[in-house]
Amino acid sequence: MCVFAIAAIVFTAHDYFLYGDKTIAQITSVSETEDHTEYSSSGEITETVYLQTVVCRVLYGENEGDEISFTNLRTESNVFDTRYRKGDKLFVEQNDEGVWKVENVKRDAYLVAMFAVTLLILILVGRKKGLLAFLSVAVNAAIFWAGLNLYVSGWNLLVISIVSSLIFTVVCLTLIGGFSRMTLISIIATLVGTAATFGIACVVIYACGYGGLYVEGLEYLIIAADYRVTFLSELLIGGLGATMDIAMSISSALCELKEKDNKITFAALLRSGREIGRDISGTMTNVLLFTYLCGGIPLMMVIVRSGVPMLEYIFSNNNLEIARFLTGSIGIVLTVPVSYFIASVMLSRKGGKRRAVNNR
Amino acid sequence: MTLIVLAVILAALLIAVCGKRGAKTIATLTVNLLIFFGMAAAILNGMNSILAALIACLLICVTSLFFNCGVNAKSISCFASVFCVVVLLGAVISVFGRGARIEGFSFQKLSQIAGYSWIIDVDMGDLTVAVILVGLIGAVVDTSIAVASAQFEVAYNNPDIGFAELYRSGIKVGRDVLGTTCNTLYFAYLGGYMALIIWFILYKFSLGTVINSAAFVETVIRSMTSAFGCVLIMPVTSLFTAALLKTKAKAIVSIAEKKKADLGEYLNREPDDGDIIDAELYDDEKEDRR
Repeated sequence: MCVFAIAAIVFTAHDYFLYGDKTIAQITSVSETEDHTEYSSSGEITETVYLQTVVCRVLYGENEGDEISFTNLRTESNVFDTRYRKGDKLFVEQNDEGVWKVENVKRDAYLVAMFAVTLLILILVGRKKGLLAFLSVAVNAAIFWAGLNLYVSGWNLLVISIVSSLIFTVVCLTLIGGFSRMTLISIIATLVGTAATFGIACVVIYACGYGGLYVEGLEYLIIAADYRVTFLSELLIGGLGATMDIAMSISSALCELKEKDNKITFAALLRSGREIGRDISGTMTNVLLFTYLCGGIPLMMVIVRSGVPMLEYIFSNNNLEIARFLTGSIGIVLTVPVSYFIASVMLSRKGGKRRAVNNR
Repeated sequence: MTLIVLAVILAALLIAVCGKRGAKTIATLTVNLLIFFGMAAAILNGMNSILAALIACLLICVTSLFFNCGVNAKSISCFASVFCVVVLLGAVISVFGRGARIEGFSFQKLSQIAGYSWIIDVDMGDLTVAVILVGLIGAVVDTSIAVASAQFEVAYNNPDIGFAELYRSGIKVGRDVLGTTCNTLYFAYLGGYMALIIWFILYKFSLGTVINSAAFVETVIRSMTSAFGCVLIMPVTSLFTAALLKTKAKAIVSIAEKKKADLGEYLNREPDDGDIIDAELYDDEKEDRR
């Protein structure tokens, strides 16, 4: 398996022929000189801009073996420019005047290496469960891709998101839990919890008329898209994983209890479920807090450095991340009672039926 | 406005569903938010981003471990293992993130930063590593606690258990939570990447362009390192906890005593307000004990 992973990495590092007519070059040397000093809009922050003279050797393409060079201006912080280093592989193209310029950095080897290393450690440590986790991620990515293709061909994004959430839930939980009563309980709990959360979020957001929500500041903004629908769909999909986690933990624990003691009462199940829910919901909300808020840091840096006071920024524009976190957390807390209630009802009813059959 | 309403709903739900624990969660969340914005402020005042992220991770561990679980062998072992994993992850993210040049804003995000000054004097390479690191710390701590608590229960119920067996039981529990933890992070990230994928499909990017684009590679590195961290923490925590429990058998005794005390306290406590079911059970239990 290790051999296979290494082979894949080596292959993508030399897969130039896959890119057909593109020219690929590797940087052999970079020399830098200070070009000028640039000031921020407020004038308080300065950065030195460097002029990089980059020499590359063409590895693949018409001019294979040739040495080419180009110049590149870079700032110290690299907000929207690139600092080239020796050894980088680049896609380059030559314009009509014969000047070379960079089209893109070749990143596929890093992508495959990251995949290979993660898959390797998942299987080494997690064994079958690790493989299943990876598989469920892959299947979901495929469903997601297919769903978004439908969107591009004219479907409503929200409808696609709702349908794919259904599929995601069933696929993920079945892969993790197998075909069992526990899986069924967690699927129902996830769907009810997510629906309730999404309903609350929609009502609040529409009732407040998107007040304070700067949806136009969404990442990867596309001019043609409806920002509000995109944002709501992102909210729905984003909280799904955490909801599944809660539903799965509670239903598996309660099923375990039921298995250990078949005569366990409805009230006892309910109480245990609530205790477990209290144990896990606190840490789960913290997981979401960091996962969501971190994505906003780079933008926060740019905006605050442009002269907007940090506090003003936190309470005005940054709120898309905070809105995602709040909705996700509401989902977590709401799913706790939903899960233990559904699990207790289903477990005590089904158990009762089975006992009745046995008595007969 | 929307945010305030959502925050109030969350707080009310936390108190209603989790009672006192909910109040504790609200306190932890507030402290973590302060740590988070403190980190941002430190970076803005010129501190190196990776250093700021490491300090933030340490503080987050302190609040989520020592504040929530108390200072005991369990939380100490979690703390040590999370710290080791964070340092290791930082190295991995640095190698991949810097090598792949994913720092800064890709052109798909141009609309976000248009109109602002791009001269910010914050190294985006370091910042990218810091962002990914702090983004997955919550999940790593969560997995670590799950593994260590389970090992503790096992050690408490079977005091004669050997080191190797204790280690294996930790790994086993870790495997059980692995799938759902990966899902939590994966969907949280996926929600944010939706518009990016639409972008790729809408503008008919070729597969070759997608897998070499900064935006896509960044998403993959973020999701993969999260999974990586959640897996890596399993053997490390299992090892540390097993070692700590086996070398410090005294710790178990003190924990066992504390558990007994906790149990006694639980059975004798006053029921929470509005805790109808709890109140009934509380009476039942008291009767049982009589």
